[in-house]
Amino acid sequence: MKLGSMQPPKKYQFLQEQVFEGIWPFNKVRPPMNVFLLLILYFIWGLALFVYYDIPVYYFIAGISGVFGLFLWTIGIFSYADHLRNVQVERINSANKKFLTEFLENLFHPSSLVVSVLVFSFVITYYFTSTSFGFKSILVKIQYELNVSTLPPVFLLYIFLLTFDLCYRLGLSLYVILTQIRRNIRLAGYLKSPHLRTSFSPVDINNLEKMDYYNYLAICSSFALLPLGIIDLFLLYCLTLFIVLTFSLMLFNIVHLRILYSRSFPEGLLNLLHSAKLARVGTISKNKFPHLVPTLFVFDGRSIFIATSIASQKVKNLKYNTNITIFIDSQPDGDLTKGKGVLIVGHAKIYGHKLWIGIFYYLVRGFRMARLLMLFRRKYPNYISYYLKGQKNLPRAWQLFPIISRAIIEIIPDQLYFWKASRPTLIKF
Amino acid sequence: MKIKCELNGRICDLPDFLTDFFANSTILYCSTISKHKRPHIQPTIFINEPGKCSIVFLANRQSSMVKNLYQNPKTSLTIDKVHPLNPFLNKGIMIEAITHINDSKEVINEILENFQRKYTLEVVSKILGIDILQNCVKIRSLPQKIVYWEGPIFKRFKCKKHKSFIA
Repeated sequence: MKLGSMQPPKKYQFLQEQVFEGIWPFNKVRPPMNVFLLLILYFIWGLALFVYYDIPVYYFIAGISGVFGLFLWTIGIFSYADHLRNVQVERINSANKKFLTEFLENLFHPSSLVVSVLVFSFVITYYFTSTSFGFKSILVKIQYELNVSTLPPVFLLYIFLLTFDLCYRLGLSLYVILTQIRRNIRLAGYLKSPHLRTSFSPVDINNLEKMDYYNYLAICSSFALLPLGIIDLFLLYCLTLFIVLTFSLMLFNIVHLRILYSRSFPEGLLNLLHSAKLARVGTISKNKFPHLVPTLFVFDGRSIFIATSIASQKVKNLKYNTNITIFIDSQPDGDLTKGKGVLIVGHAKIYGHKLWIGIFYYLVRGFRMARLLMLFRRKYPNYISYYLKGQKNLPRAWQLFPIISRAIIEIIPDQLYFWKASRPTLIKF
Repeated sequence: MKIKCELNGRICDLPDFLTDFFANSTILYCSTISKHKRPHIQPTIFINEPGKCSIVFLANRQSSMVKNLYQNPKTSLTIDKVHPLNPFLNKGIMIEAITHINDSKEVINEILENFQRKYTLEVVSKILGIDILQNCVKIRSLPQKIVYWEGPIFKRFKCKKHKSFIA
């Protein structure tokens, strides 16, 4: 990632990525194939041990679930790292650049290893010292069940290597979440400052949230580790505690970032979004012409929603290309020169253009749909009452039947621009 | 004054309710397509060429709208009249057009007078800036398709007369 034209590019990588880059045969294949290779190697090794030493099936199942969890976690965290590395830091304003660079420095800092080593030390100490199901230690229990006087070195190596790999990932997951929380606290501070808050666009914060989901996906792979509890109950408790802890922190993180997202909208923009009655919506048709029509809209604090007929050209265009733009403006006192507006460039999600998908969505997201209906009713009481009275003479496609004739289109902002009639060009936020 | 329009290889007079949008509206919304295949919208002041349905407007050469039109001359221009209470009384037209950009100062100077007549010098200079000749280009858009609406029903306007020659 480039951190400015005067600085050499700095490579942000997690330790695991550096290991993959430096060790044969992982350095011979590109991600995610190197992760897949790791899965295959662990699997073959485990299978060989299972066949050769006649290991009980439940140990084999526990081992394979551990390897599978490892695989899913690595795919998730590598995707997260990849997305973060692709942020064009040099393109953004200086306050945002400083904030993001600091977050990246913290996230990829080698100190993340400390948490992993702590987790590993705890587990290894437990392996050697704690009693398990009446045995002196887990290792002695395994020794007994394998019916050997000492554990074979290849078997021990497999256990320790897999344990280290898992502990490293669990530790790193925790470290990443804590770093994200620290980042959000810092961001909250920036948003409180009147000078700095304009440096952070809601779109940037939304992008941070989207990227965080890759890490959450990685954390979800810890569920695949639960069968490891077959070996020892205490390990199962610890794993469950870890899952509860990370999921609670993850939830806290999501809620906090969502609050920050709604706080990052400037007051003027929020006023415009709530007060403007009409917007112009642009889509692209199949014959590559833009299509531009006025429409009613509501803003729910995150996205903009429009309601339209399922037979409308907008819906047809969006099935072909989901890119959508909405322009919302106002002209105080009807004066053309005082016109102000916002251009929101984004992508659309259509709810209800297919009957079954529509019904499914209304069932699953019923609360959100009810809220949207309320927002429309509150913003356009006259429009809706006139429409309901006059719709009898309209074709069915234009009547107000949710799902059957109406589709809701969510416009998720990707870019925001301010427009002023007195300025020839748009201002990017 | 009647406005003549050539659509689908046929020429006809626009009906009065469509002529009204060309003659009496002050602002139109212009949609273009960016190089990333995303629509872009910008409001602008405009005039129509006397007796023709081609629309002319001026825009800053640095604006996204002009940059987009250089790459893809297809545009949609929307002019609407919104009723504050009754959605069945909303009216508007959307014109799909092909644009031609001209940056000649003489050409811009010629049409500037028409803009000042319609909007006054003060409004034109506030919106387009002081140095219009230096910073702006003329965009002339030739309609390919006209769609109009009254309430929620959209209809396409079609010329019914046969093609004839006009000077």
